[in-house]
Amino acid sequence: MSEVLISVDPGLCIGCRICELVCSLAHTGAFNPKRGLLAIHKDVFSGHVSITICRHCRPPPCYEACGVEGAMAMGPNGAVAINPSKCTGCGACADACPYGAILRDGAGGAFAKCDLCSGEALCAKWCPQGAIRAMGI
Amino acid sequence: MSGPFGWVGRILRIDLTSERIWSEDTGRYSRDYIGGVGIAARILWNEVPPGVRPFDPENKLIFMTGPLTGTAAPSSSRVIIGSKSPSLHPIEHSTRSSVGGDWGPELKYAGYDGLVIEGRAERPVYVSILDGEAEIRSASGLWGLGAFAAQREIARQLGRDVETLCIGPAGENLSRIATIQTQTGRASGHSGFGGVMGSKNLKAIAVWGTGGVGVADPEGFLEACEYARSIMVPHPMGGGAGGLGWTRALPDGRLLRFFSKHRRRYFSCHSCPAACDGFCSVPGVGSGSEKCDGWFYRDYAYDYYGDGSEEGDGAFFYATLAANDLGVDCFELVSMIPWLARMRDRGLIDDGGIGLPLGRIGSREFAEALLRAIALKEGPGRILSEGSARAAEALGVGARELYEALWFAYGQNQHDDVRSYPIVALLWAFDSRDPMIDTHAIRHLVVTRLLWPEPFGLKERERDAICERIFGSADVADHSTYRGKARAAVICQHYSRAFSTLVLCDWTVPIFSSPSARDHMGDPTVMNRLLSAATGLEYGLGDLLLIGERIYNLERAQLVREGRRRGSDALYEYWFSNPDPSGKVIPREEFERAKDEFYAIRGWDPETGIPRPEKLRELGLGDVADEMEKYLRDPGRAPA
Repeated sequence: MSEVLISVDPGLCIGCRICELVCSLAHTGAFNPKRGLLAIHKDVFSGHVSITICRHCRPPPCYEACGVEGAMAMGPNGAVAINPSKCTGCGACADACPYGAILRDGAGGAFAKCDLCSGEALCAKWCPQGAIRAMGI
Repeated sequence: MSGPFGWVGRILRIDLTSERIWSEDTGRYSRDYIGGVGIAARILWNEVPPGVRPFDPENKLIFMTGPLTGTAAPSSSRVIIGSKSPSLHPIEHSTRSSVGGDWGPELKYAGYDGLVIEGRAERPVYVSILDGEAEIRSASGLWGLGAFAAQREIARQLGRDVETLCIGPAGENLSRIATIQTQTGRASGHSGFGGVMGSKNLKAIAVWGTGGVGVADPEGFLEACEYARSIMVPHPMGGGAGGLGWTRALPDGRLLRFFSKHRRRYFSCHSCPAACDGFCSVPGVGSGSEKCDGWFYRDYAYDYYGDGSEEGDGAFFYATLAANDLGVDCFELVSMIPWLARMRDRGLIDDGGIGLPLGRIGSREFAEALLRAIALKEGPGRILSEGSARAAEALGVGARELYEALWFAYGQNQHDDVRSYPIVALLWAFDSRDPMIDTHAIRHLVVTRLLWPEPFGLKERERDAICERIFGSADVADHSTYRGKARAAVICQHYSRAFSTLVLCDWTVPIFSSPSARDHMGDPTVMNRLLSAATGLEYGLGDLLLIGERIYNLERAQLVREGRRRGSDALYEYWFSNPDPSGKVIPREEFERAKDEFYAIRGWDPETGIPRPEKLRELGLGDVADEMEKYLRDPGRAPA
């Protein structure tokens, strides 16, 4: 499996939240944008949009910052995944992330982050605008 | 996930008089009516009897989502609003409206499929619904604010990224043409429900939630979403990529020039790839949405200041933003302004008499004077905020005559030409309000298709094939005759109610034709495929259309109880005697014969236009039939 990088262009984003919807369905079993592993912030009054999403850095500072055995694992596609049963919620990974893309899962104390949906990157697949793109490297 | 699927299960109820807050089971209604326009119609029938007037505390404001709201179904953001309408004329009938944006989905994430507001708060309030918890809060610092500032202030007070429906000053001051707004350019416009909110002293409803909307078959549902999206109808002002954006082909140079200078980005409603909302910034004016809202002033502004001029851009965009911020219905103004201009030209009104700078229609000053007068009910606004139908009565015979040349019926202004298109005339004749706003599918197919630029334009052969498939005959596209139109109108009405229960956007839903689809052939089964996968209940297209018929009959029963009869299934006289550019008028006899046919197909009494009891029973509306029989024996009695 090739490694995958994510690139974003907030200028193209239309704020439809389809990325959050498909992400949350895949990871929580229901459509629930606030529990997606990425976040769209749109301000309809100023026109400002930002996209918070893991870029899958090489090497990943989150992974390097995590001191809890088994709480983070790197998949074959280069995506770092959090094991919620091991994560203590200490936040070291979130502090280390330059994109603020490691989110506190609303359901509990653990953190959660994009795991690239086993390489499928549903957010990029479903984005109607190409505002989120997944590129194999 | 173990359900519930599609629906989240509860409808929130708030009585602003007693401040009582409770909730009821959506399942009470959803089996027979699904959601949206269906549940709204049922609650209106059950709880809003004839005699209740729009601004009475007893009137209810019903906000209903559907089982697809909050999911990834394409263009599933809209919330249906049902209530007694102050804008309809002469009878203030029960009717419907809808609004997109992000509010409807957020209501479901907050835990509710719908919200019913009744009563009247003693002082201005707003309602917050945060993760299931509803609260009535003071709006003392919000009353008088425009819709934009009010939304921002509420988000600040609640400290969250809430989605808010709110009214501007027009709604507060009980204008009959006031809107309910969200974001900068999304509105429930044409039924005057902003005034109903104002009459309840309710400034806004803010929602926020972290709950989810589950679907029974996630994989099948995403497949249905992908399919629906592949054939959806794009919006001509939209920025959607992947072939959906075709603004460059929009045949309107003035708007294109404006967008090329001032559009900063596109925004979409929740879960919609069409992105019909252009976010624009104009120096010295402000920022916000522009799409079709500004039509009412665009040509006046550029005629006044000159094509492509900065002043023209400014006046046009100012008018759009001000109408949305003050909460005045832009679509009413599409006809109100030409009506004022014609009255001025005839000498029926002048600047001094009406208190508006009528010689400067098109200027920013005129837009400001008119919109502020309406919203604040000052000067000429005392008459004009009542809506043009009532203003025409107040202004006398000449005003009424000119009014009829711009409005079709019920106090609703023209939308497509009832003389040119028999199907349009019939849809208008039987509705309570402008029907073209939730039957864009038929407009795409037989009305506006020629306006669509290549390669999107529908060829005649394709159109006829679609008409055969949907209506069983290509007659519906033959605008020279009323033959086949009554049946087509019935079918259109059922489709309209079907997608408005789910709730899907009537513009993008590809039920008839679509520029994106092969041979431009849409597919109505997208509705039941999405619904079945979402809920886990098997729906066929026939099931949905039957529910559409049930809803249409229930709406009719409500109209009948409010005084509607065959005689008022009518359009203004003007359209029977003044020809369209091709020389056509509505042929009276053919029109009445088509009405006979319509009542016969519907199982309604052709003399009165009242649904027959056996028809209501056949549709599972036995209790409605019983109530109707009692009402017809004694129209004056209070309903049970």
